[in-house]
Amino acid sequence: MFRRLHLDDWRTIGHYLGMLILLVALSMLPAFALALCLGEYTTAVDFMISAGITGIVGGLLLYCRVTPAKLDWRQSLMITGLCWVILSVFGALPLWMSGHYASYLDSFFETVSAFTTTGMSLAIDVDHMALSLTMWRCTMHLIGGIGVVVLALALGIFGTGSAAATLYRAEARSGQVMPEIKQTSRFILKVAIVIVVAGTLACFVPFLISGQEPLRAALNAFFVTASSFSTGGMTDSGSGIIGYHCWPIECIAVVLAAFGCVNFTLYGDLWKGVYSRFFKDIEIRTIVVWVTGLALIMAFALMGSYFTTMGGMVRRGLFELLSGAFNLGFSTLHAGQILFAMGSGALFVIILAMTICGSASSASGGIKALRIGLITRSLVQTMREALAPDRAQPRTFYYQRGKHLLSSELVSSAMIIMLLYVALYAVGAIAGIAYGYDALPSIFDSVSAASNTGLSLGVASPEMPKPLEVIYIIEMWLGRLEFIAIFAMVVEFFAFLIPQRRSKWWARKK
Amino acid sequence: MKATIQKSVTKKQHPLMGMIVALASICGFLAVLVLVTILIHFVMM
Repeated sequence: MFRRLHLDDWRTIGHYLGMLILLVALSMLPAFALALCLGEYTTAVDFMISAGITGIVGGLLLYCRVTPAKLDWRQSLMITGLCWVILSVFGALPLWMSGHYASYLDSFFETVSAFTTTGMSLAIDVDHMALSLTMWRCTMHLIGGIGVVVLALALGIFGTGSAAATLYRAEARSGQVMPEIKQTSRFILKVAIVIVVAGTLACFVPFLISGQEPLRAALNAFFVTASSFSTGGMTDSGSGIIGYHCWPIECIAVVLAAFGCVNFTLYGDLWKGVYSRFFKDIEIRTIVVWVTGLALIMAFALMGSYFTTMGGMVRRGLFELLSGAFNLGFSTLHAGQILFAMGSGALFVIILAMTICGSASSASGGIKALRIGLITRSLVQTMREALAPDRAQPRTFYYQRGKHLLSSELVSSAMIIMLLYVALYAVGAIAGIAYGYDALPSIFDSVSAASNTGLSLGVASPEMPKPLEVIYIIEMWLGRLEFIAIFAMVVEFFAFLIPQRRSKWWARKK
Repeated sequence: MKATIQKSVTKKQHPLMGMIVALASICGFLAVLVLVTILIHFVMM
């Protein structure tokens, strides 16, 4: 039985959404400042108008609720589900005004792709795009990678208490390093800032050595770092990272993506000097075993392809695999080369790598290593039960910031989410095939969109059919929020729209 | 639970050392993957 949201609930939701919209307006300011500094005045005006509209709407929504309201869990789920769409609506404004997108839907797709850290792009002529626009796309990557709600919690927008905890969980986050959710969110923000600063400095040197001007080198270093750490994949180059022709940058990008794939709460243990928790963690161990296994299969699969040289196997094959496995989305090959030169075996391995990706509570998407780890442990449990003597009840444990007993509820929850992901991958693939694309690119791009990876074999392009574009947007959105918040939001929304039935008692009274 | 987290928070922190351990682990893992790929290249050639 669902309890309907009342107008008062919607006012509270609108109030907090207004705060988040104001946050987006503020986050446009660095890109606006960069546009002014670089003399990109047309883009600066676009940003000014977009930030103005966003700020006005956010400010108006703030007045939905004048007195400070306490959030309940249903309102929290609605806010989390809605904010990722509404923020994209406003985030798309400067992109749409730039003229680099064929329609508003294309720029909306780009914004959803940036916020969900997917990295798929429908931009036209990226090589001539204003640098401030790339700055905005990378800023959206960072906001999405850290988490919109986590960022808002860190800035104290939602306060503390049970509502903060619900919001935190609704954004597919779990685990705490500090006693309060707000402190944990601040810690995540601090970790992200440290990694982005260190990564930008590390990328700056190779760009400078490769002959770029210091300002351009610094900007490119930031773009690559923001995209890599947030496991996005957008840069100022139309061909992505391949356009830089710089292998040290490719190495740094993979390392940064690996950082982005680690559960952020594990960094808390590392900061405290409890290293054993990092190495014993079920997700870390699952990722190590999974990626090593895939790397082995990839190496054998590449022997029958065009990439049989040592350099080709490492810089092309292994990089593509790691880009998929770590949710990075950068590619050292063009779509046609992946499709025709790598071979179907290697392509299948990349698709497999994209399905699972990194850890829970990280910047990455996909089924997540935790769920695969839990399902594997449940298989061990089943085997032990089958082999155990009568009356014996073997217990299986898993390690995640402490030793925990594997419960059937946990396994069933992991299985349900995994099945939902598989169904989502299938729906996108079937839609692509229905629109006349070949099966392999359809499956590849659908898995890439739903797992928020961003690699593409050409289906996701400015020429793609609009309904398919909408399906990919929904895939990215569902994949990022891991279904529950979206499902709850849809149910609440329809429950609100459908007229309430009068009871017989009510009819008699009338 | 809250007390346990509070207790662990009061422990002396080593942020730099922690990040270096993470970096070294990731680089070590990636190096192993590169070596495995190179090894298979030589075996199969």
